[in-house]
Amino acid sequence: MIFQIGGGISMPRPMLTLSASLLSLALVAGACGDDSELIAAQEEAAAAQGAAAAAQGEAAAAQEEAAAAQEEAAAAQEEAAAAKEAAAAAAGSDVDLREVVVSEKAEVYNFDPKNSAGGEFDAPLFTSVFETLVRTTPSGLVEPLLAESWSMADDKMSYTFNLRQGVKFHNGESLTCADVKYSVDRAVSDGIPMVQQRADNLAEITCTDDYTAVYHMVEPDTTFVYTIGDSTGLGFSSILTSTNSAQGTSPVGTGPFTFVSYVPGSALVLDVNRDYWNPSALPDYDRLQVRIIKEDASMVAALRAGEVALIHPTSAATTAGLRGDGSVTIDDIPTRTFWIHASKVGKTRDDNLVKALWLCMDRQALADVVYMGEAVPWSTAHPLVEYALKPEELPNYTRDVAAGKKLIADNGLEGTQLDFVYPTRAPYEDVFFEVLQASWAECGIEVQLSPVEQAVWIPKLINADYDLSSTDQGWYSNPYRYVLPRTGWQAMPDEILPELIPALAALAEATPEERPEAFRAVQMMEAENAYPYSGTVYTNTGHIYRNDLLSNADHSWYLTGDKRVLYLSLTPAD
Amino acid sequence: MILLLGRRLLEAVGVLFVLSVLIYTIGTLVPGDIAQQMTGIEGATPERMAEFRERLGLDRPLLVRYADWLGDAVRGDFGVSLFSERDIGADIRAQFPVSFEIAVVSVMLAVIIGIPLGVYGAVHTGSILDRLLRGLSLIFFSVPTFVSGVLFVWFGSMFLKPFYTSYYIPFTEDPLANLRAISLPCLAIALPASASIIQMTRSTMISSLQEPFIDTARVKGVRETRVRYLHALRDALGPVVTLIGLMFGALVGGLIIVEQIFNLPGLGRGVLVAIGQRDFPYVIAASLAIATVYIAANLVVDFLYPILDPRQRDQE
Repeated sequence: MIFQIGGGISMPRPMLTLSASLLSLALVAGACGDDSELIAAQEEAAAAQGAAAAAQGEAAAAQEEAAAAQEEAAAAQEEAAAAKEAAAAAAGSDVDLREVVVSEKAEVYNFDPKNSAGGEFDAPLFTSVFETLVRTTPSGLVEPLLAESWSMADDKMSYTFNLRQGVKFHNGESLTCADVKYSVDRAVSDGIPMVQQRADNLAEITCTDDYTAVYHMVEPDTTFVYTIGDSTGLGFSSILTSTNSAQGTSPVGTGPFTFVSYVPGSALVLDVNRDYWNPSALPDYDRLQVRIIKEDASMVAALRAGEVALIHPTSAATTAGLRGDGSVTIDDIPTRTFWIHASKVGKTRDDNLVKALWLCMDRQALADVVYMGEAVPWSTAHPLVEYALKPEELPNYTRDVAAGKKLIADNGLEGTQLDFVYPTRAPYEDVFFEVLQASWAECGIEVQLSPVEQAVWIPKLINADYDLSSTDQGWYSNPYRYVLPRTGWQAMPDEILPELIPALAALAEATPEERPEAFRAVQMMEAENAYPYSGTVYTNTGHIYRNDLLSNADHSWYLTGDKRVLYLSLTPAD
Repeated sequence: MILLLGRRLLEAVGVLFVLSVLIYTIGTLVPGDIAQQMTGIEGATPERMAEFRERLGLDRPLLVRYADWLGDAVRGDFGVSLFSERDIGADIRAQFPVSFEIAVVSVMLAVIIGIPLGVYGAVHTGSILDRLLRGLSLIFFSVPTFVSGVLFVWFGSMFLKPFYTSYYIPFTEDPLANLRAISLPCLAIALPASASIIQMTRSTMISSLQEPFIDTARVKGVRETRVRYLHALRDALGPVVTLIGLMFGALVGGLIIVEQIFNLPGLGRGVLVAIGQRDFPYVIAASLAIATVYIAANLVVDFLYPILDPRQRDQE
C-alpha cells in the first residue's frame, strides 16, 4: 500500500515509520551538541513525529477507504456473478459453471436401479444420484445415510430404521417411509433376478410412522444391514421417490448429484445438488462430466491433452507407463482379483484333481509376470479383511508341485484334459490364463483355454457348464460373499459338502464379535475340501489424475464401488 | 429411370424384410439371451429365470414375437430396448448421423486424395512419384485401422492439439468443435480408403488409356489433357464409383474400431454394445438403417453409371 507524503513524494507505510524513527535517532545523536541545538532538534523531532502521526492517520483513513472499496468490489462481483448466472440460466447455457471432467470406461446401461446387475456400469450414475439407508465403508463399518440410526431386534428377525428428516428428492418431494417401501417393493416385484435375490430373506417392510421403516426377515439374519449398504446391490437398496413415473428415463433420487443428461457412448453429465441434505459433503465445483472412453490408449491421450482430469486405466502396463510422469498423480490400491472356479460337475467332481489344481497354481508368477509385481498372492477374501486366514494359513494354497503330482499319480489322473472357459473382455487378459495353464502343465494337468464372448460365457458359468472358469472380483462389504457358493456356478454344497451348510448359516447369524471365528471356520472347511473356488492374486487398481487440474481424488471407492466417494472428493486445483 | 427407381425400391423392401427375418432368427440361435445378460453372473434359480423371461415376453413363440415387432416397425416404432429401457428409434437417430457424417467426410477425403493420385500414377507410369505412391498405398492399406487409429490419437493429443478432442460435438451445435472431433478419425479411415482408390483408379485408367477410342481421339487431334481427363478418366471411373459406393455402405456400419478408439458415439459402437447384450430389437433396427444406406449408395452408383458411360444409357 502506498501513501502520499507532502507534496506528492510516495513512500510505503513501513518506510515512512522507519524514516521518522531514523530522524528521531539522528536528532538524539545530535544531542551531543549544545542545548539550543538540542531544543531545536527536539522540536524538529516532535514535528517529524507529528508529521508521521498525521501520515499514519491518513494511512488508516486510506486503509478504511480501501477496505470499503474492496467491499464494494466484492459486492459488485457478487452482483455480476448473479447476473451472469441469471443470464446463463435464461440463455440455457453453462457460462462460468465450474466443471470437472473425468473419464469412465463403462457405459451407463440404464437409469433404473431395479435393472441394475451392480458393478462398474451402474456406479457412476446410481451411486451419485440415488442413496441407500446406510452405506458400508472400506473398514467394514456400516454408516448412516438416509437412516440416521437403526437397530436389529433381539430375535434377529427385524431391523428398524429411523429415517433422516428434511431430506428432499431432486423433484422437491420429501423422503418418507412410503418411499422406502415403494422402492423396495418395486425392486422385489419388477427387478431383475439378481435384484430380487437380495430380498430373498426379506418378508416385508412396514411403516410405523413417516420416518420409521421396519424390515421384517424370513429367517434370522445379522448381515442384512450389509446387504442394503452394499453399493453393488443398489438395485435393491436405492431409495426412489414414489412420485416419479419415468424412472427409466429420468432418474430422481436424494443424492449429492442430479442427473442432467446422458449420450450413450459419449458422456454422462451430473450437476451438484445444492439442496442436498448434507451440504458440507458437497464438492467445490458445480458440474461433473463423465466421458465414456473405453480404450486405455485413448484415455491416456485425453489425459495428456488436458481434456479429462482423471482416468481409470485397466492395464497394469498403462499405469506403469505413467509412473515416471511428474505431472500426474497415481493412486492405486489392491482391489481386483480373479477367483478360479472348478464346477465340481463332471471331471472336476474329483476332489483330488481340484486339490492338485489348487496346489499347482503359481500365484507368485501371476503377480510377477502378469502384473509386473503390482499384485499380492492372496485368498478369496480381500487383504483388508484382517480376521480372514491368509493364504499360507489355508490348506491347498501354498504351491507344492510334488504334492500336486503325487495326487495326480496316486489317483490315476494322468492325462486328464480340462477346459478352462473365460470371457474375452477387460479386465480378463489371456496372459493371466496362459501363466496358470503353464503352472498346471508342470503338474501334468493339461488345460485347454477357451476364451469366449461374455454373452456366451455367462450361461456357461451360471449353469456350471465348464470344467474350470474364472470370475473377476473385488471387495465385498458383506464378508459372507467371499465364501458363499453361488447358485448355479458349481454343484451346490448339499451335493458336495453338506457340512458347509450349517457353517454358512452360523456365519450369516454371527454377531460382529462372533463373525471372525465363523468366517475362518468356513474358509478352512472350503480350502480343505477344495470347494467352491480358489483365490489367486489381488492386483493394484487405481486412478491417475493431472496435478494441474485436480488436487485431490479419493481412491477408497475402489473397494466399495461407491463412486460418489470419488466424485465428492474431487478438488479442482487452483 | 423412374422404372429403375421403382424396381430398386421394391427390391430394397424385400432385402430389408429378409434381413430382419435373418437377424431375428439368428438372435434366437446364438448362445446367451438378453435375460441372462441382464441377470449377470449372479444367476438365478430356474423358476425365477423363467418368470423373468415371461416378463420380458421371451417365452412367446418366435413367430408371434417377430410379427409383433414387424407390426410396430412398419409404423416406425422400433420399440424400447429391453436392456436400457431407452427408445431404440431415438438412440439410432442420435447415433446414425455421427457414423454417416464420418463416412461421408472420410469418403470425400479418400476421393480427393485417391482419384488425382491414381490418375497421375496411370499417366506417369513407372515414374519415381508413381513408384512412391504405390509404395505408400501399400503401407496405408496394410496398416490396420486399430494401429493407425491409436497412433493418430497419440500424435494428435501430443502434437496436433487443435485437431484433437476426445469428445464428439454435433456439427449443428458447434461446427469448429465438430471438425476437431472428426478430423483425425476421418483421416485414419481416409488414408487406407484412398490407397484402394489410388490403386483402382490407376489400373482402370491405364486400361482406358489403351482403348482404341483414345487412339481415335488422339488421331483426331484432341488435346492430350482432354484425352486423359475427359475421355479416359470418364471411362475409368465406373469401377472406381462402384468401389466408392461399396466403401461408403460398409463404412456407415463398420466404424466400430474407429468409434471405439476416438470415442465417437456412433452406430457401430451402439451395435457392438447391443450384440454383447443380446439386445436384438436394437441390432435389427440398426442393421436396417445400415442396410438402407447400402441400398441407397448402390442406387446412386446405378444412376451414375449411365452418366459416366453413354453405352449404359442404351442398355437401359
